[in-house]
This record gives sequence, structure tokens and C-alpha cells, in this order.
Amino acid sequence: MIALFNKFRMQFLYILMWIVVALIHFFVLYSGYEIEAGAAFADSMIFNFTFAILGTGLWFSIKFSQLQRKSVFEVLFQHLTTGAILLIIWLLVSYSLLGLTTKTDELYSDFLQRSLTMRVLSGILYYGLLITIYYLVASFRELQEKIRKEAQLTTMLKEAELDMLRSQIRPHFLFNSLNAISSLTMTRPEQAQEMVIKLSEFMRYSLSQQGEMINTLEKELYHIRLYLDIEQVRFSGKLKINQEIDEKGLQWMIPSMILQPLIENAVKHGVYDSEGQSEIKLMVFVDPNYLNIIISNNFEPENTSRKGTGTGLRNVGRRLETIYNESGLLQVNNKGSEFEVSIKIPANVKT
Amino acid sequence: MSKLKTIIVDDEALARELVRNYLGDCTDVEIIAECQNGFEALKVIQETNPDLVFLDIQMPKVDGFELLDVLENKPEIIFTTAYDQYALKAFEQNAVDYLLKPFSKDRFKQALTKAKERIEKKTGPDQQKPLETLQLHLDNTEKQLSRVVARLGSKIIVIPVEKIYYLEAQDDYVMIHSEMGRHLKEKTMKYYESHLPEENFIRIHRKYIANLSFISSIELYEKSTHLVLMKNGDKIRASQEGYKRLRGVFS
Repeated sequence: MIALFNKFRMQFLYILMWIVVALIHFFVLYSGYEIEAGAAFADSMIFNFTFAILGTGLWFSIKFSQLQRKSVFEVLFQHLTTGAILLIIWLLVSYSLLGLTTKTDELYSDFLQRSLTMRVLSGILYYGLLITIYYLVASFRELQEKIRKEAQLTTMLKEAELDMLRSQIRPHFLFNSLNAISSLTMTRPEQAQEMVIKLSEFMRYSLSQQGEMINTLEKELYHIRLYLDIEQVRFSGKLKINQEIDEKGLQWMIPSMILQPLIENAVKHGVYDSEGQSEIKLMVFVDPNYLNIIISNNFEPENTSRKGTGTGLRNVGRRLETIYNESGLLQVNNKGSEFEVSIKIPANVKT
Repeated sequence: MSKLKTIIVDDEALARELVRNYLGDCTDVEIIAECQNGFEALKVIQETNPDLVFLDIQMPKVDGFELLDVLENKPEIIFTTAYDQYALKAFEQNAVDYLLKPFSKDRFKQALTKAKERIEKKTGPDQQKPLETLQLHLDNTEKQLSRVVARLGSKIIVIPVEKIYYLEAQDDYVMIHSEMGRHLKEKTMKYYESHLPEENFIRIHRKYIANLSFISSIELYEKSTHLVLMKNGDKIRASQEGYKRLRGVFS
């Protein structure tokens, strides 16, 4: 019932409005002009509901004319003509209907004849009120639509921005890796081939993952490892990887590519922005409620710009929150020269 | 003709190896050093005064441009980078060429030939001025500064912007007063005014840009001048206009 009301809210309000007008009309005739209840009722019913029916057509004419951009004079002219036509039809229909039903009542017939001026005036008033209301409703709806569209646009922009931020690391990684391969082909072709294969496998995987796919931790870790292997070749002895993985966690399902931004972040701060040795630690353990994944890297805190941090991490946090409907699944811990990010995957998604 | 003295600067060993291999059959070129980062490179370039440097742009802490910025006697530069977002800036720095990784041996040789021609003609980088429009374009597109790099002898000093107290105009230079001390930069006040984060840095005088975080108090000095006391004890002046701006942010 309520849903029905919400859907036809405008229609209900419209009918209600006319019932109120008809009641007032009836009482004015009945007590003000001392017209017999039956005749007053028929008068009120016929005049108001004829107008109400004709008035619905007005709504569509306004909606339609709003689509075409017209000048003020054109609109004014349009309303003068439609107003006049509507008024004539209204009066003709009402008078002939009333003439048929109340032929016998002479007192009323007399009143009906004399009241034409008053009818015309009230018709103009109704017409004016009705189009005012229509215009208000139409512009209110237009405004709401505009706000909705603007909000949509902002979110789209934000997403595009995030995409851009994400893609900033990728081309760098890709072209530098290709350069390393180019170098290897001259001296160590076998190693070059191995790296081409790893890079292809990694790229194929990351290109195929989209939306809200889920994968086993094992599969995700395998591709993370490919990425890290490539980085290790690029930075030879500079990058050390340390992993400690609880076998029990390998079959848990996790959102695809959720670890990749975290690992890229660790490589960026640990390797790209540091001169010395870097170490990335990857730890996985299972407790009764969660799968815990901890990624940490050492970094050189002095003189590093804090720019560019945060967005990627926040994004991962937001993604986890929307998927699992639970907050605090991503935790960041800055220990001065070690940066640690831990995420928790709730148990109920385990297969 | 003596051999061309060359230095390779790149943080990736394989990338350095590639350049070394490409130079392998060039008998007229001698690689005198390879450096992993900007700090090392500054020292080596100052000591050995090379003719040509192959310079990677993205390196830890100090990038290729920042290194170039603090060099006094600039050698010829061939930039090597994986990304083309810096092409314009490289051009502005009057680089010989700009090699996008991965690059072919032919392309590499082409750049090398160009470098040799320039060295023979001795058209030093200073003789050619960058186009004004290009400079303008760069000033508009260049991202906000998060650090300023200065030089002290053969050492590179990296000054994060949040450690800068204030900047002071000194003729054609700008003196940067920071936690790291005082350093001169060959830039304009206008450049810093538009490139430092505006929520923290305010132009308070024709001669001064102050970091709001280091202001301890402000007092009236003369009719149209205020004295701004900085947390390091320095006192700098604020003009009428500058004082208005300060009041705007503090109120």
C-alpha cells in the first residue's frame, strides 16, 4: 500500500487536492448561495472533476514544451491559447452536463445562467494555479535530476583518478622490465627468456582480473611471486624477499588483485625510493575467524616525500569494507623505518 | 682526438649494463664510472669532469633533473627513462637526446653521434636558451614541490619542504633557510611561490616567503611593516599586503 502510494504519490495528491476544492465549492454554494444540497453537489462535482480531468492533459503539454527551449513570449502565447481552449471545453461540457441533470430545478437553472462570469474567473484562477504547481514540480524534478547526475559525475571522476594513480606504476614497471630483458638478451639469453615468460604470465593474469572476482590465496600469491621475481631481477641484489606462509591459508578465497597494490607500495617505498638494501616480508597466518596477511618493507624515513602514499591503501581498505561489510580489515603500522600493512579476510567466505 | 669521457647513471644494474654493452664497440668512448644514484653521481662528475653523462631520471631520493639542477659545470646529457612524461622537461634542460627504454642500438648510436657533434662544436648547454613558451608550459604543468635539492660542495642536500623555515630573495638567487641550514638556489621567488604547497607557504613580502608552521609571533614594526618572528629566532619583514594574507590564514 505504501509502495503503491509512493509510486503514485503525485496522482494521489492531485486527486486529494481536487476533492478539497470540490468540498469548498459545495459548501460555498450550499450555505453561501443557499442552493439545494443535491444541485450544489452536482454543480461542484461536474465543474471540478471536468477541470481535474482536463488538467491532467496540461501536465503533459508542459512537460513536452519544456523539452523545446522556447522564449517567454512563445510560452505566454501557448498558455493563452491552451487556457482559452481548455476554458471553452470545460464550460461547454460542464454546462451541458448540468443542463441535462438539473433541468427541473428552476431556481438553480437561473443561478447557472447568472454565474457564467464567476465560472470564467474561477476557471482562469484554476488554470493559473495548476500551471504554477506543474512548473514547480517540473523544475523541482529537474533540479533533483541535475543533483543526481552531478553526484554520479563526481564519483566517475574519482574513479578515473584512482585508475590513473594505479596506472602510474604499471607503465614504469613494464618498460623498465622490458629494458632489463633487452639488456639480458645480449649477455644471458636464457635468463632473458625466463623473465619474458614471467612478465607475460603476470601481465596476462592482471589483465584478466576485473571487478569483484575472487581467487584462492595460493593463486594470488603465485602471481605476486612472479611480480617480485621480476623486480628482483631488475634490482639484482638490492631486494630481499622473506616469506612465511601458513599452508592452511592457501585455499582461502580472497578478492582478486587485493594484495598487488600493497606489494607494489612496498616495492615503491622499499626499493624505488631507497638507496640501500631492502627487504619485503610477506606473512600469512590463520586464526579461528580470519585469514591474516601481513606485508612489510623497510624504508629510509629521512628525506622521503610522503606524496602518493595513502590513496592506494585507502582504496584497498574501502574495497575490503564493501565486500565483507566490516570495517577495520586493513591496518597500517608505521614503525619508523619499517612500514607494515596487514589485512584480514573474514572466515565465512572460505570454501 | 682524445677519448670521450662518459659516465652512466642508473639505479638498475641491467640498465647500466645495456649502455655499457652498446658502447662496447665504440673505441673513441671511455666509460670512466658507473653510478647507482644521484649522490654518487654528483661526487664523481665533480671529480672527473666527464664530457657526456647517460642519466636515468627516476632514481631514489634525488632524480636526474635534481642532480642536473645542482651541477655547476654541466656535461652533455642523454636522458634514459622508461616514461615519456619528462620529455618536455628534458628538452628544456637542453639535453642532447632523450632515450625511451627499451631503446635499440641504432637509436642509441644516433644519440651518441649527436652528442659527439655537440661536444666537437663546443656548444655548451649555456649558449642555447630554452624557448620561453616551453618554460611557461613547464611551470604550469610541473607538479608541486615536495622537496628542494641543494648542493654543499660535493654533497647533495635534500630539503623536504616541511623543513623549510622561509625563503629570501637575494638578487638573482633565492636563499632557502631550513632545518638543514642555508642554501642558495638559482631560481626565482615567483617559481617558489607557485610551486610550494600554498596551504603552508605564503608570500609575505617582496623578499620573503614564509612557512606558516614556523612562525612564532608577529608584531608591528613601522607604519606599514610588520615583523615576523620565526621559530628559529630569525626576524623577517611582512609588507602591508603580506600581513593581510597572514591575518587571512590565521583568523
